Amino acid sequence: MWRHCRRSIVLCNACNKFRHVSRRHLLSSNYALQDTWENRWPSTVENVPFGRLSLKMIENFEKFGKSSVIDMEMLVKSLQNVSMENIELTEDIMYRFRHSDDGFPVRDSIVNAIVRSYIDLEIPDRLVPLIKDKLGYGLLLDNYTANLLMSHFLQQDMTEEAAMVAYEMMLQEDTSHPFTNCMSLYCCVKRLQEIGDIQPPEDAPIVADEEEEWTRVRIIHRPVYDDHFDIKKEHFKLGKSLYYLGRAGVVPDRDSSTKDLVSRSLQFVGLGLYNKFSKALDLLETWITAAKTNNTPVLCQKQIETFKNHLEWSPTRDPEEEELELGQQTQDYVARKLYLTEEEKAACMERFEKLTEELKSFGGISDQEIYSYILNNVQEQMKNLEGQEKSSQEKRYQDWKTEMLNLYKEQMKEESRLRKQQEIELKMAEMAEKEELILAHEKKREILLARFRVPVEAKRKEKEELDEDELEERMKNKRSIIKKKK
Amino acid sequence: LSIMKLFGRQSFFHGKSLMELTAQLKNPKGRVVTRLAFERYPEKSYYILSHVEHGYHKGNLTGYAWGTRVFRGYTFPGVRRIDSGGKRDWHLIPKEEEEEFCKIDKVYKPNFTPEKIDTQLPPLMEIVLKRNLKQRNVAFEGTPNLEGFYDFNSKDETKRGLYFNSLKDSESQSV
Repeated sequence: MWRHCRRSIVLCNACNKFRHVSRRHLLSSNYALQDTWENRWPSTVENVPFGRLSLKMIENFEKFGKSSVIDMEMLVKSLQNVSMENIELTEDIMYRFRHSDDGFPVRDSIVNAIVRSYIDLEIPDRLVPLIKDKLGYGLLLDNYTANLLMSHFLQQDMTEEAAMVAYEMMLQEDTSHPFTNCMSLYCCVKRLQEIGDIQPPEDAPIVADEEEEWTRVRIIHRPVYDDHFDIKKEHFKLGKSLYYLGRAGVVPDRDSSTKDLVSRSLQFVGLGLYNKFSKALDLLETWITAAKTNNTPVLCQKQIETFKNHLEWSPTRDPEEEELELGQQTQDYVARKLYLTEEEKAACMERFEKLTEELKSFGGISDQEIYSYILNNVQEQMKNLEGQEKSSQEKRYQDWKTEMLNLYKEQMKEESRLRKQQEIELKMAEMAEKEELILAHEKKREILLARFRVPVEAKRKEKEELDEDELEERMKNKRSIIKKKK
Repeated sequence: LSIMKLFGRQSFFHGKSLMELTAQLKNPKGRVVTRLAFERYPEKSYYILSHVEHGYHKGNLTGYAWGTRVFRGYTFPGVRRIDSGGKRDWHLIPKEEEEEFCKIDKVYKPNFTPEKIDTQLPPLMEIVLKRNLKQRNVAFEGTPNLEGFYDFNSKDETKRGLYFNSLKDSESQSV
């Protein structure tokens, strides 16, 4: 009776997973492909429980430095109804897996299963810092898992985390999937509505008046700030992704004028947030020369205001400041060299005001509200593109199933081979011992001689610590012996 | 909090290692990558990646990358292995700037003619050669040269990476 109740509770829990997913307003209930995901594991492969597997994997990592891919897949499969300590264990195992030979690249099936199990356990917050640390954990999301994650965050009203995922997809510079483009645009625009008009926090000052700790290093590597993977500030990332998506032309061309308006304004706002003002103003000039003849609108009022605000709030650097020594420089210090000086900032302000006056003269500024237009447009697009995504993902689940089977067979072959090798070695050792006993009578002379051919370690006499009295007695004894000999 | 102050030798390089860059990319195929050391040449030189393999050795990221090479304007045929990926000198070029960057204006043509190069052999080798040729009663004029060992007129353009210790020509090319 009790067993029956327990099983039914477990079944109910299994059925209720992803129930919150079905109530999404952006994506339909079938997008999660719950049936195929539950049947993704081939039936001939065993289901090992979590505790045993994790301990075995940690042993393998410490002994051999690596554990096989199929072990990781099994572990990720068994991540259901797991407690908090075990989650920290899995994160540790993920770190070690990435630092082994099989961790480059981490397979898509593993990443997919990790993300889905975290969503089921309702702790997707822990995923975001892991996704950011690409060298350490290597969770490079493919398009399907990114869509799932972003929709989950949006449904829970966690726009910050959803935007973080969108930034990571932007950093890969891959706009070939229109569905993820739409999804990330949605997240970024929502985040813009929250953050766009708030002054970003000031930088922490580089303090040089505190204690100094000297450490000897063979070579001092220069700290490098590439403007892509090393960006730490959120509004820079937001701006860059908006610029990038605006260029890609995500909003479709029902009316070509609104399409151009939308893309231009997104690009302009993005560059303003990203603090690349000269680039934005160069683009504006080209747009004005193209639009002056037709008297078409170029930008919207709201975007111009946000650009102006960020121009005023942008931090500046002092060009006459002394450069720090190489040993004291950090990545932040190198990043601040890209800021504008005060003269350049004033020049940008003047140029900006000139161009806005030009725009007003021929009616290039429109009062349209873009954000709601974008959000509605993007939602309609996503509904049309869902079918393709689902069918392609189903195929991928089937492919992963067959790959898993092949991996399992190879692993079992290797293990049986290793076992046979060990048995053979044991047998050989036994045979060698027996041979020695049998042939001992014939090799008697060699065995006796071998005793004298053994290398002898030279014994070192320990130096005795003697007192003066004992020394005198010894010397007297020696002299007496010498006299006797004579 | 105390500040970490490092002292030691300064590095020549300004950049990241290739392995660090490509480990953060999901699809490194087709990306363009340069070294800052190539800026000393007026022509353009870069690599277009095709394939990367990573590994960990004693806690350090290592590996090899393969790609097509463009050095001083000349594209080498076929996919080659990049051996200097561990040097922290590499920069990734964003996709929107790839077209502009990859336009080749000038091509460097090395002129390895015997007139511009010092074709002396090492002295001991000269002596031994002369002695051998006398013993075998082979007639020769003048002193033995590099021209007997290297085909200067070959049109194999892949042999551009040779280093000659030229005293006459100061624009000799190094690998």
